[in-house]
Amino acid sequence: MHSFFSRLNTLFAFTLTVLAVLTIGVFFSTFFEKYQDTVAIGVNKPIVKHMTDFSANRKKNDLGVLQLNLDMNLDHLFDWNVKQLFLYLVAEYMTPTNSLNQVVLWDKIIRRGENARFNLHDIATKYYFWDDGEHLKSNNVTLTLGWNIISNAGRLIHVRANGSTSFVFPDNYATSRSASSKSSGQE
Amino acid sequence: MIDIEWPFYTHMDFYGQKKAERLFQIIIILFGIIGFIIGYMMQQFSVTIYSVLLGTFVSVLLTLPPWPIYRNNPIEWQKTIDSRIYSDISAQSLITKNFESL
Repeated sequence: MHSFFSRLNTLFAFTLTVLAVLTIGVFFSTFFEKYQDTVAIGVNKPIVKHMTDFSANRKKNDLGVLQLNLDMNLDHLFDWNVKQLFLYLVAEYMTPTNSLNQVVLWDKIIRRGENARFNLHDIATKYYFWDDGEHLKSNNVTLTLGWNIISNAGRLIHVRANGSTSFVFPDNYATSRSASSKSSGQE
Repeated sequence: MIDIEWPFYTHMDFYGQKKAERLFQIIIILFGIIGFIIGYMMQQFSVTIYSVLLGTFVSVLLTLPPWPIYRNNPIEWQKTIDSRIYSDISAQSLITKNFESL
């Protein structure tokens, strides 16, 4: 502590230690938080097309096309330890070949301070709904919204929201002229 | 510092160092606790961080420059004495001791 620089060094190291202790305190203060909420999901006009999937094998697979309605208010999830939310909408169904299929259809990143209330009508899915095979016709599909909490200091938590919906695909394939969106494949 | 002859002094004495260290520890911890409580009430972690940095800035102003309050107990060095007398006597006693041990 005799020279100017040694005093400066001690002060700086003490500041960093205090900041580390406060960050651990923030972690403990939100350790038992559940981050659960209810959302409303709706599905319009689900159809199935039979097309060649050029990003996978060259065989013809089933492609599901649907519109989504999403209604949610996630303002209260942002406590002082949440930096951003990563939302994802996942479709789960069963086929004779796989007992569980999960396809992510839509996702979004909400940073702290941005608008966290959504009421979206008739949006197209963000990603293609390819099936691994051809078993989407008359298949019962469940849509669930989930989010991933990204904290300032803490664990990465996956939470599934309450309020999932199910729908059934029609029994026949649709031709590419009658589908309104994502008709860029070959038949 | 950096072995340059500055026109001003840069060191404190020992009692001043103890006072300065205690003072900045108390200031930074106090600002940290206040920032934690306010940040928890506002649910904003940035408030906590800014509060600690403000405490550090106040401590820098109060304890980093060597203010006169930290120099009230100067180190008392002993007075210099003419050392030639002692060097003659100690050399003689060493020589006689070696002759005795042989």
